[in-house]
Amino acid sequence: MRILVVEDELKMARLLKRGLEEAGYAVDIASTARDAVWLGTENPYDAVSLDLMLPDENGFEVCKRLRENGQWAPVLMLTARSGVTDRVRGLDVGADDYLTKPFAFVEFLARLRALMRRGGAERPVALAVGDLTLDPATREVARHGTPIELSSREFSLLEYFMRRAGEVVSRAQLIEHVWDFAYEGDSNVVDVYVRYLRQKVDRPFGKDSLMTVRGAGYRLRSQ
Amino acid sequence: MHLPIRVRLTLIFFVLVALLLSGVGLLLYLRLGADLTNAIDAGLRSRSKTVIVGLRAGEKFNDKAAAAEFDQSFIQILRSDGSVRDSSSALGYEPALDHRQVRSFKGSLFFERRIGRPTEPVLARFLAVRTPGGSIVVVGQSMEQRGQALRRLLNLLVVALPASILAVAFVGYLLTAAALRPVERMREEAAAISSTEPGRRLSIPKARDEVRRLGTTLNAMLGRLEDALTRERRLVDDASHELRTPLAILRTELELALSGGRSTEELELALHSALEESVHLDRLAEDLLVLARTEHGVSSANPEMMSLADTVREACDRFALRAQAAGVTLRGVVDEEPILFADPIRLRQALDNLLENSLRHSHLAGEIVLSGGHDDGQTWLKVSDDGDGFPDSFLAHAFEPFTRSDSGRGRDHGGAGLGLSIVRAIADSHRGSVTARNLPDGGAEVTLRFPRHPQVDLHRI
Repeated sequence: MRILVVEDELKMARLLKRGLEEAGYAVDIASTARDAVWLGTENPYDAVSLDLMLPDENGFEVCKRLRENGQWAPVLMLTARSGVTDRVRGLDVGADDYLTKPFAFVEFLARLRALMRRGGAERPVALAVGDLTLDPATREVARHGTPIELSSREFSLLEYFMRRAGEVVSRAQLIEHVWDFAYEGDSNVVDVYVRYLRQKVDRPFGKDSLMTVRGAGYRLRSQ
Repeated sequence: MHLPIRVRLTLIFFVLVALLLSGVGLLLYLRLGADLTNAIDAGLRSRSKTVIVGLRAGEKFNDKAAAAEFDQSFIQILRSDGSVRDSSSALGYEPALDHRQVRSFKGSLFFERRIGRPTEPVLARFLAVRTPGGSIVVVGQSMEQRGQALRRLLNLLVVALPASILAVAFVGYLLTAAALRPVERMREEAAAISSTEPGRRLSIPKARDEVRRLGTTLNAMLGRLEDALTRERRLVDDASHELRTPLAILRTELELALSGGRSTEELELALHSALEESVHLDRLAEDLLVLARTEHGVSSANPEMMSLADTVREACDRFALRAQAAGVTLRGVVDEEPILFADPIRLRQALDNLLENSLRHSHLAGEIVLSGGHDDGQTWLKVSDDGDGFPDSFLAHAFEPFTRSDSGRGRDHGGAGLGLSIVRAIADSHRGSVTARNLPDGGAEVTLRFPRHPQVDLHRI
């Protein structure tokens, strides 16, 4: 297992390297954002420990760039700031976990192990199906770059469709996942909302991506 | 007076209006009385002439007297000795003039007396005129109508004046309330602003009036407070970050050392590293304390007269050994023998911080110059070197806490980025200033300026 440690504080970087090596990992150190992006893109790391304060750019940028370059190694952010906004921002740009300095080294190791169990599968922050994109963090929806305004129910419905693009989704499934447990209305409401969604997502663009599958439900065309 | 402004204004308004309207009422009353008396006098004069002319023509007296009594006027004709010759019945046969009056008056005489039955006397006004023939013609007119007119006016005033005073005062109260309503609204808004939402501002009324100016001023104040709060929060944020980094290293170092199977040598290295971090933490805590004390005026500055030359020499002496070790020349330059007014301990701290910075950024065989002098009523102290100089991006924020000239942390090279902000706080507490610039030939220069005369801000120290 190979780990990239991004840390500009030399002493801290050496300590982390030593500790990780003793735990049996191979470790590379990057002390600037530029080095981190370059190393992270060129090498297949199993995990990245990322400090947020870097001399040239901050850690958020590094994380975003790595994801843009198609690197999905789990990222553990290390931050000396305890502010909620930093943590939220980090997780929303694609980091997988965070740890506040000072931390217990055993916890650092445990979190890295947990992240590596999940592996480096592709898990983009924003969903994309064809030219339709949806960002759950910013709640922005766009088709071919044109922003689309959706109500929160329509948004949830579209998110569910996009997470199962190409699959047939039944009305019962939609009722269960998009409406809450207590909802007991008739399944007509699904048809109504799908119609709303088509009016906003498909019709203005001359598309027909949300198809009705007779007797089964709906399907969002994956292409 | 501790009454609300609205009540106070209304009271003042009430008193003024009451005085004014009462004055007007009194004037009206007196004026009407005088006018009515004048009208009666004019009537008496013309009647006396008519009577005299009639007498000369030998008219019979009774017809005239009877006609006169209809409009409550009276006629009496006296002989020259004062006895009654003819008289309206209402006057009876008592002469209207007593002997003294008969003797004393010449030409004509106005007088007033009561006539009629003693149970219901009537006040009347008379005019007595001596005819060329020696007899005296007295004409009189009841003043009852005049009295009635005045009484009617008085009645009207007694009712109307207090009513209108009250009405005007009430309107005044409403107007004051209306004028103060925007202020009250603003007060409510201001009361709702808390430190959790320092970005909130008062809404400004559209009219270009005093309330708008008040609102604008208050908003400007809120803006300054918000800025101060933001600065303070950032300082705390930065300080906690700066404290956490060495703490994280310390903890990780010790945890790894304790994880077992370490040689004595390894443990010794770990302890050295831990010691280094604790020294760094100690210095950081000390710097933060100095900054907080200087900025918030917890400890007092004790400015005193100092010799500028001595100050410069002593500072150079303190750094002489270190400069020598670093291969840097350190020179002190003072042209004259000026006097400096400053707190010696704080000034020493400021100079030490500046010299420390210069030493850190100087090259081998470099030169650091500490100079002092006077101009424009200010004393200046200047530290210049021929080292790296400040990066341009740093110059703008040089005196803000936790900014460092070497990008990133550069912790290995020295301070936490508090040195220059401490220098600025010290300059501020002396009502002085500090500026930094890069010299054209490379190297940095920081200038401290103090007022030449003791003007230490007593509120800040």
